[in-house]
Amino acid sequence: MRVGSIKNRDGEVRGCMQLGARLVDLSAAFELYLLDRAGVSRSHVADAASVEMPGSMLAFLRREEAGQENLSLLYSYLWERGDGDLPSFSPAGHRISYSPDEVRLLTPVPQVYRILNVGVNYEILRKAENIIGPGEGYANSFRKPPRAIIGPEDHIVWPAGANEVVSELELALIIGRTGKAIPEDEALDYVFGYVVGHDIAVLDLLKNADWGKSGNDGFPGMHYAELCKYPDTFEPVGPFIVTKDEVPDCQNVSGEFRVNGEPRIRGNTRDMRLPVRWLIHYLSEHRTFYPGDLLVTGGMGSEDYPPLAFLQPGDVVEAELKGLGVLRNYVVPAA
Amino acid sequence: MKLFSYRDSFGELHVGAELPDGGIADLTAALEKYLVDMAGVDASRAAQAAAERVPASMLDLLRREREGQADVRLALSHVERSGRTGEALWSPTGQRVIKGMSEVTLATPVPQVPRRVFSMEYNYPAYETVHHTVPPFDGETAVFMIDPETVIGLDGSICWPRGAGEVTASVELGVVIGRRGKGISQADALDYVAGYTVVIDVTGMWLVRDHPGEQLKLPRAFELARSMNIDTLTVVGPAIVTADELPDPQALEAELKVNGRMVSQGNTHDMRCSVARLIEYLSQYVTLDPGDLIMTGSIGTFGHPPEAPINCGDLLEADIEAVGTLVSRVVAWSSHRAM
Repeated sequence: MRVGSIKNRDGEVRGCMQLGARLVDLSAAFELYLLDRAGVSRSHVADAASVEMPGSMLAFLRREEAGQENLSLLYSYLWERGDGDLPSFSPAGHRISYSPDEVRLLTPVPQVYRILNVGVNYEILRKAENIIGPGEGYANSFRKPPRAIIGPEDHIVWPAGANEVVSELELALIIGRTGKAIPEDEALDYVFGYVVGHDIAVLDLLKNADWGKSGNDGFPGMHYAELCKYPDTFEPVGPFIVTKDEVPDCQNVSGEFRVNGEPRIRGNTRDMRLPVRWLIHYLSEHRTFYPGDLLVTGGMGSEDYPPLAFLQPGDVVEAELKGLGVLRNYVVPAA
Repeated sequence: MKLFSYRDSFGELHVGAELPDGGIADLTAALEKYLVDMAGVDASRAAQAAAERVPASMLDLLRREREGQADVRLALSHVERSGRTGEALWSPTGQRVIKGMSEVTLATPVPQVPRRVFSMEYNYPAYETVHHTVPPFDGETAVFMIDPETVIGLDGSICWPRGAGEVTASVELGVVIGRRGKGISQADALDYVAGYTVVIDVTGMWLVRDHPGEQLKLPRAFELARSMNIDTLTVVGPAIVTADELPDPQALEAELKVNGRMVSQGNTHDMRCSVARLIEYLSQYVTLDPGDLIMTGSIGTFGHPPEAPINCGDLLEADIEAVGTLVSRVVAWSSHRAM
């Protein structure tokens, strides 16, 4: 299943599912399911659907397994009916399905506020940039503010005064269950689905990191390792979350990043130094993971298509992961 | 004003303000009373109007920016006036306006997510003199974000992390943002502050270094973000002291006591980057929103350095002049509610 969020013409932000060429409003379609298959009366379906399948993706994710079971039920129901057979409006009068040009596709979970990124997770980045990566058994993790998150076709705003801005192409995942100290062999049970992540940084802030050559262990430049990732609009995520059942092996996803149509980065998640299941185990050791949390797993790359792509204002950038879709954004100068 | 978030006996959150006699005024109920008594609003509509103008959620209230702060003032001054004349202090819909401090449980001042927490590090020269840290460049600091869900207030306890080694605590001045802004200049910066609060910042140092006091080295320096994002290890409270009461945040004495013994002590005068500069610095890249918390750096001096080692069972008391005293107990992880 491919799920995400749309903004309709009334300005409402609603969870949706891609069904054929249509985008189906999850909560409105669930009203139909409740009426048709669950024997809920017409006067109660709207209330019941708002609880069982909330309109906000974050609220949906917070229902954990119960929400995900309903999503599967809804998907089979819609599949059986076929998208040509859907009425325009739900029993309570909500619009059910849209063609993509009628709505704006947003980042899949616009309400997300916990963004956890992993840095230097591919050997190729360490080698290409000659930096000291985290040692054996350690990961580099950092946070991004929620305002960094943007969706498909949104603008990446060049920060005033920045000289060098770089992109990385990353596999991102959305957590679907609450958990702490999650064992490695259960880690993937906590994943709801996968999505394309595009991690951007102001390189100027890091350029004084000498990565230990002076004996200062990379300081003072290392002090700016988090801030360089923080600017507004610097984490495009989208276009849809692909539920994990459709991703047979998250450690074998190939990707390509293009700037103005020209390939700059190519890689595969099989080259991750620390695989997804280990990252979930390690990062949840002392902090609780909540449904809706976004984990971005590090920039991929290869010998000829290295992991950092330099951007310029005016660029059109496309981040693509095979099976997860293409995420296109536009780099614009500071307002 | 001293603004609180507190829970009533049903566990519901409210926004309150401290009264001169030590009681606490429910600001939503107080505004409801004001609207009926003074503004001629019909009693049937006053409760809803009050809940919109002074929401029970501190985050929603802060998002109303200056209008919300003006409404809070109206409500509080009405309570103080009515209190003096001995009027019965019930709102028209029967909400009690004044409560005793002992009747409520104080929460962290902004308990609602998604407010962000930015932790500014190495902002006192003591880091160089005591810990031999390589400082950031002049006028700049290191920044880390803290998970909003790891933050607790007086209603929680610091939960000793499972398998922890060296754990340290610091006192910091917390700045609560009251207005949205980006690219804010230093001259305007304090206009964006709603108020100040006390923060006890606890760090899982064992995750970043092998021996207490050791200088931070790569590759483990990469783990700093993880060492700061441990459930319950950031304590914020007890109140927000509004900015009008603290025109100069750069002259406040601060101290941290562990089991009654003073371990860290300093003055906000020593900050490498002032509060105004921190706001300018951060807002160059990040839009600041009402409710965001900026932790302005661990306070310490040569004799009483930042980052005091703590242990399970310790009682921590952080005090900042004119801002308040924040007390928290470190408890074993198993006795904390399952998170």
